[in-house]
Amino acid sequence: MSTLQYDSTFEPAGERALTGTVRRYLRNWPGVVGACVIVLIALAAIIGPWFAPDPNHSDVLSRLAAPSGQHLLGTDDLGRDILARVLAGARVALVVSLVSSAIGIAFAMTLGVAAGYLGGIVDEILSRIFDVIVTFPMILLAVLIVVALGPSLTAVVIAIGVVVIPRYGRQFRVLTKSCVQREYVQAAIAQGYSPLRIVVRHVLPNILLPIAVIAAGNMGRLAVAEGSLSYLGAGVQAPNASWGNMISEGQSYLQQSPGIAVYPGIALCAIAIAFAFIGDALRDAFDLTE
Amino acid sequence: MSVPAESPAEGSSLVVEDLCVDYRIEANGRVQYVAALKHLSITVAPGTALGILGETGSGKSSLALAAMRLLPKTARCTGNIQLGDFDMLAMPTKRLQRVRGREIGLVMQDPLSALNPVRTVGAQIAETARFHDHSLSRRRSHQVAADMLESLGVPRERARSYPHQLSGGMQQRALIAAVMVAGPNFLIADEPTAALDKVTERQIVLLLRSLQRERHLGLLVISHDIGVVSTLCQEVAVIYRGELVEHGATSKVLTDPQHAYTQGLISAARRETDDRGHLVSFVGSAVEA
Amino acid sequence: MTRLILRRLVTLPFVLAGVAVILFVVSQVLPADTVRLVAGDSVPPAVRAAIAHNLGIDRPIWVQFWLYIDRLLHGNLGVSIRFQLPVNDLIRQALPASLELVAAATVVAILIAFPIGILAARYRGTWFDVVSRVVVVVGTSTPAFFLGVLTILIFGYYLRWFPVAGRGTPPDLSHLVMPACVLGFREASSTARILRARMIDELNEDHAKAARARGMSGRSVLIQSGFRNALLPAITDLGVSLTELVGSLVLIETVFSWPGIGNLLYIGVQWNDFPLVSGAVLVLVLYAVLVNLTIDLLYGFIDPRLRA
Repeated sequence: MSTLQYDSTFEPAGERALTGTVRRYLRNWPGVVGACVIVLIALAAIIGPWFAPDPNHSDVLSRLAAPSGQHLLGTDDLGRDILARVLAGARVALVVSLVSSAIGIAFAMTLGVAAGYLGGIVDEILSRIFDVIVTFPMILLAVLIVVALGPSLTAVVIAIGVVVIPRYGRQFRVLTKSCVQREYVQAAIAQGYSPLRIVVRHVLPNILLPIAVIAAGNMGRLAVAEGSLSYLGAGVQAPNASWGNMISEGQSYLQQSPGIAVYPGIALCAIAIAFAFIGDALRDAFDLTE
Repeated sequence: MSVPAESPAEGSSLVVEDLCVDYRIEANGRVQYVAALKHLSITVAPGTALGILGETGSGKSSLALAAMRLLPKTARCTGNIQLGDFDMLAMPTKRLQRVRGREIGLVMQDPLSALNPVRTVGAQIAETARFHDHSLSRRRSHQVAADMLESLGVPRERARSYPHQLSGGMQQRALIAAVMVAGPNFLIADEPTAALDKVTERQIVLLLRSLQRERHLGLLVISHDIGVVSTLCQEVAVIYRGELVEHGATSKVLTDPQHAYTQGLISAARRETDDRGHLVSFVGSAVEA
Repeated sequence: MTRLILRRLVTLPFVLAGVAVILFVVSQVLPADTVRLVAGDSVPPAVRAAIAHNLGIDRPIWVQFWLYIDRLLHGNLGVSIRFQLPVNDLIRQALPASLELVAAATVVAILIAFPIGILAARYRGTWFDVVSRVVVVVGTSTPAFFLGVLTILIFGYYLRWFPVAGRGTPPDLSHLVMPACVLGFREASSTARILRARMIDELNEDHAKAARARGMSGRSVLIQSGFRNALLPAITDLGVSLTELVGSLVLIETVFSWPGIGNLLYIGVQWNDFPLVSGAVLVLVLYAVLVNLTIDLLYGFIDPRLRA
């Protein structure tokens, strides 16, 4: 599971011409391909339940079946439709990435901006806390939290959210600090505006953009994190489908029916690579890198 | 192979004909070529010194890089540069590597960045020595390096120092040692004193002058500093915005400048004249009257 | 220089303390029923009471924390629910296997990354560079465990080159090859990319140009001015990727049933064996912290600019 990428060379954004940005993004073909892939997968995951069979329904008579008209990707060892399970896994992966990103960023924003804006002892304490949590490799802390809370989808979301907070928190802090030094913020402070107003009106609009770009790029890694956790068993539990536990179960049947493990794996790779491309393309489009 | 001071070798000449250097720039999604040097033609006779005078951005450093064929890939270069019999711009790369260092040397502006920061100066000089003379053993090459340093005024023991441990003057001497150990008979000095304080600058300029005289080096001195050029060079060429605007004997150009730009340069340096209106910067200036 | 070492060593206890705090928070503050977490379900009430007393469940937080630290400092990591053995012993048994795998993977990583990084810097912009960059992107984006599964499928089942699981009886190398290569490949990808970037930066520096001006051949400049200079910062970047390595180690050991500490972690998760899980996590985090410290110190030794 790779670490999150977060560049501290980003400058808080000013006004950006939106059309120029969109055009620049569209010129980056890996980014476009990535975006299409994500949209396709998301759509398939959402409308899946209407077309595909129940992912948990066991058709005991046709176990380990090859792809057929009835089961487009075949069935697994318990006779469950693989395609349906892959789509269910897609739902899990996307939900986990989105929700834990949202939670993580929300907390990270509060803490990070506070640290960056207030400075002093608050900053010291928060920074130390961030640093210590970051010494934990992501997976280890996440596994620990999930097992302590009892494995479930909620536990995974909480665990990944917690792990993500200090990493985004540091980024928020750095961006806030450099934003506060700008003249217009200093002017607002001199005018006596309340800190809350300054933060909301002057600081946040400028740092949300770089964060959004980083977050978009990291979604893939969060999906991989979910997959890794459920592969280890610290995630969505059987019989519910998640790409990780499909790969884990499928490993036992690798010789007879490699598809059980391979299809979800390919899907996970697709999401990871697609988001990586999207992240790069967004950075170029918004012209945020040096 | 290090060249002992009594070498009788005649310097080579450097002939530049119609040199044009452009740099490729990408701005706003469009590709443009910005001219650094336009149709430059100069000649340095064997064993003599020519100064190139101009301010930053005038394109003079491009001349040094072009002559060594060290321009970045974004640069486009046309014209002709002859070092003695060697056609610098057209020669195949393998030959060029043998010519570089052994026939012509380049002393760059900032010795701290021109020397490898993670290796001792002795090791770098020794490596150059070994490269040009395969018969040298490791041990011998380090002796040669120490000899070279000593002949340039750096104590032998400093060979084991890293560049950042040396003073600015010693760094520049070490850099010159690394260049001279290959035994070139033509030297290009690109702003050799720009990174130094005035006192050290004077020492290095005198060092270069004695080097040039002892070994009959051809010398091309590129600088924005009139004092440096006037001490080292009998002839001077003035470059303004990539074009040669004035050329002649140093004494004549500096006392009777024809071009407005040269006049401006000289008057800006007027602070350093004595009460007879003569340019005073160094003992024994090449400009006497 | 000694100042650097001292500074690093001073932060170490704080980091360790922080790690202990986090572990404590997750094990005793977070869960609803800590005793059940630690002792499992099938435990008679009397034993439960004893355990609760040992943990200090009913006492203030700081007392609990103190008891926790005390246990840690005595090397008591608890008793595994699954194995009914001290976690300490299990970890000690598993340690050699993990070390062997990490060492092998690092060797593989260096063997792959150095030549590719150097060549990619040398042939920058050519097809070789582009291809290797694509390979690197794929290598780092693909989930580690899936890469392992694919490797088993292709090299274990289709080609039948290597056994698909376990360690064999050491020093049996055939079992080591696949997990070491997969783990090493991931490390190699990031190392190669960093090395290439650093080398390109160094080769653009003046000293590289000066070396070429002195007539050094392209190859010599590449190695002496490019590689040597790039190696130092690349090593610190390696330290960063080593934290990733721990995560990948856990996954790869699980995929290949390699009997190391990562595998213990997996077993712990499977059996809801919290003492085992937290013990394994502690050891792995310690390893990551120590490795980072070592790399920092090493870098301080190697870079002459820092020695002054």
